Amino acid sequence: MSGKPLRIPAGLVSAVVALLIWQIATTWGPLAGSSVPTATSTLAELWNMLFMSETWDSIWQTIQMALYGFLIAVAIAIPVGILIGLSRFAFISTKFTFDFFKVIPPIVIIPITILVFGPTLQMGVFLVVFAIVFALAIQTAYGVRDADPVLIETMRCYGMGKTKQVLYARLPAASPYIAIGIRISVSAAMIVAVVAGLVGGAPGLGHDLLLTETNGQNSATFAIVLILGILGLAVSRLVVFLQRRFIFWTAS
Amino acid sequence: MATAISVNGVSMEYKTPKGTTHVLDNVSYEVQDGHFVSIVGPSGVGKTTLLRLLTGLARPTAGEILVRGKKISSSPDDLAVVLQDYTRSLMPWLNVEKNIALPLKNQNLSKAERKERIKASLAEVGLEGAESKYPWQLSGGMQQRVSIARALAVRPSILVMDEPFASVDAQTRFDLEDLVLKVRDDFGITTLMVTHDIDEAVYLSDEIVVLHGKPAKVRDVVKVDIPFPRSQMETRNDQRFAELRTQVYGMVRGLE
Amino acid sequence: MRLLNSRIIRFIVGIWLPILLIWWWWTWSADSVDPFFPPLSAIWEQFKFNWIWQYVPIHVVPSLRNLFAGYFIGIFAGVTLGALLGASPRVSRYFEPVIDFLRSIPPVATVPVFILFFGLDAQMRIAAVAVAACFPTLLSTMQGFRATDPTLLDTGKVFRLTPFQMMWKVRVPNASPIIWSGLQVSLQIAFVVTIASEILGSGFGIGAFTTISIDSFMILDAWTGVVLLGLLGFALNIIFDLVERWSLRWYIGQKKLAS
Repeated sequence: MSGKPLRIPAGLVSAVVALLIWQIATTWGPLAGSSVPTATSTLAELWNMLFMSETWDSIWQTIQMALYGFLIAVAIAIPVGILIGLSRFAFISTKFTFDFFKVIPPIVIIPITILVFGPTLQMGVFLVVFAIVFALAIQTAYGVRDADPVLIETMRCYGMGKTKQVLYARLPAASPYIAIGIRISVSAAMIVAVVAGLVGGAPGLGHDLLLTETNGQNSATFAIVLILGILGLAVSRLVVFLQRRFIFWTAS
Repeated sequence: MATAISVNGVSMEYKTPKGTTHVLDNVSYEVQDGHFVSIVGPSGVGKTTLLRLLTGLARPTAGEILVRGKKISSSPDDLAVVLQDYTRSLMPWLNVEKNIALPLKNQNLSKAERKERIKASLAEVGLEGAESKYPWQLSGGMQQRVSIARALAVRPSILVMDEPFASVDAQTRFDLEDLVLKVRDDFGITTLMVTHDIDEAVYLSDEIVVLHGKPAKVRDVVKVDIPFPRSQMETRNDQRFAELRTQVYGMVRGLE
Repeated sequence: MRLLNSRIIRFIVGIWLPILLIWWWWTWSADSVDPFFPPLSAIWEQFKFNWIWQYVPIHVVPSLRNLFAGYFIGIFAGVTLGALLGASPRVSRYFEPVIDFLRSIPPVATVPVFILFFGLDAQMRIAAVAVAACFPTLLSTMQGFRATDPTLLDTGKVFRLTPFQMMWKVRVPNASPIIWSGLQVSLQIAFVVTIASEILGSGFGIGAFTTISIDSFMILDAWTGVVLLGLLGFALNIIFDLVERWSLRWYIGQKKLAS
């Protein structure tokens, strides 16, 4: 070991301080006696929940909805985006429609999906697909269109056909765009999977949140929110890690 | 003639994680009122550091800088600057008029006076009627003219320029050099310029300060005894011009 | 495809698909007996009946009021905190992990927490919207302030700008393109949280109206709610885009020239 003094990471300090403030506010402070649970009771509840299989089932259900929805959306959006990006006519034709659906948040159509699917896993998957497929397709199309025109001309001069142009110029140009689109999509998928449970009644952490809240299990409600935060953080870290590992040329 | 700026035994050190970098060592010289002085030296010698000290953006570790006899602690009142990178020193979100107006806002001028100043400075640099243009709508040379107009509008007695013409093409550069000479004539402004272009330094200056070494010291001060007015065509073909540039070139390279 | 350079032709090409989709929905659903998918013509009639203007005061007005009140409180707090933290990296090192954690919580998931804090009234909704809207703006403002060009700051110092001018004429405009993108995300999140708070907290608002319609099997009413929310979400984005473009015209012009 080198003689460096032990440095306490800033993150740990601020986390402890935040928990202390929470604890003090709910024990002696303005929130004492309110329905807001103390930090200690929330953490105790969180600890308990870690040993309940229901918690892990819920986590898995939420991840499942996000994951299936994400995979289906990617499988649709990237080929569609590439096709749209290759033709200016197709790009302009679909732009308005895709933009429209892109900005409609999935929560808007939850009432309809409840009618069609009921409060099921399928509903959650459908909402996740709806939430990300349009934005990802547009993003891919932009990327394909962003290929360097000089590079395309050069390839044409060397007599390379359309297929080669797509493989060696258009797709590489689109890959950073797709990478950004995917990163945003993963976070969005998790969020929508929770919303589907909370608002639409699909199984998973979102639904648990609703149940504990209506049953007045306040510590459990807060504990689930903490789980969601940890899960969200873990997922975004994982995506960043995977992208650094596999698509190193788009470091930014 | 009075002294406009005196630099007295200025040293500058930077503390970096890797240790201390000694940039300037006991630099001293004086700039007379109304003179045009260039600071030249090999790249990385500390010209820009010296300029940051002169404009009050940094403080020397030792020594002092006096402007009209007063020691400077922050940016002095009657000093204006023109920086090399016009794309980053003009505010891209303000049009030409507002860019020039920004430093005038604190000068207790009436609105009409301010407008008048802006108009006059734009006329001085040959950009009449460009008030409502945004910087990025102008060519590099024109942006640098706006930069000069902004400096002139505050009516400074001292103008400091950091490689002002380094990022423009050769033709524009000659035009801007002549513009700077005209401005100096019109207002009698004491001008200090940092440059790496020796021809430019000889063409414009009364005096050239040559920095050399690591840490940098004043290697020499060369008086440019070519009479004014100067012109691109004649001065640059002058025998004396050739001699001086050879001499300064040798000093910068450490040959003499 | 030279034709596509004309604005009018581009516009026509741009709208054939939406028109076709609406026409297809209209004819496909015309004879529909499926209770879940009533004819579009019926939805349209009901839409006019509900939203022009019968239910506007009791449902649309509270929704928009909560949305905008929460949004503006949220972005004001976001810009202020972001500017403070962005200008002082040392302080932000301590706050960042907590902020990072809090923003990882899906914004809608905080609605139950706010119900615990405030109960089911409008205050709860505005608070939930404000907090959810705060984070994207806060993060983008922080990022924008950190990226201030040192040359611009030097220029400001040499010309002896006041701290006020440094803030509002240099730092804020310089960060504004990034801040605007945060403001847009904030608006989208505010919209979602507004709807969620109405669905979960029940009562008034377009979201509440739609859920209550579903629960009481008034499918036609539910459809009009969905359509209204969709149009509202789209309109908000368009208005936002227009304001942003106007405000950032210097930036857009500069970028166009660079490319």
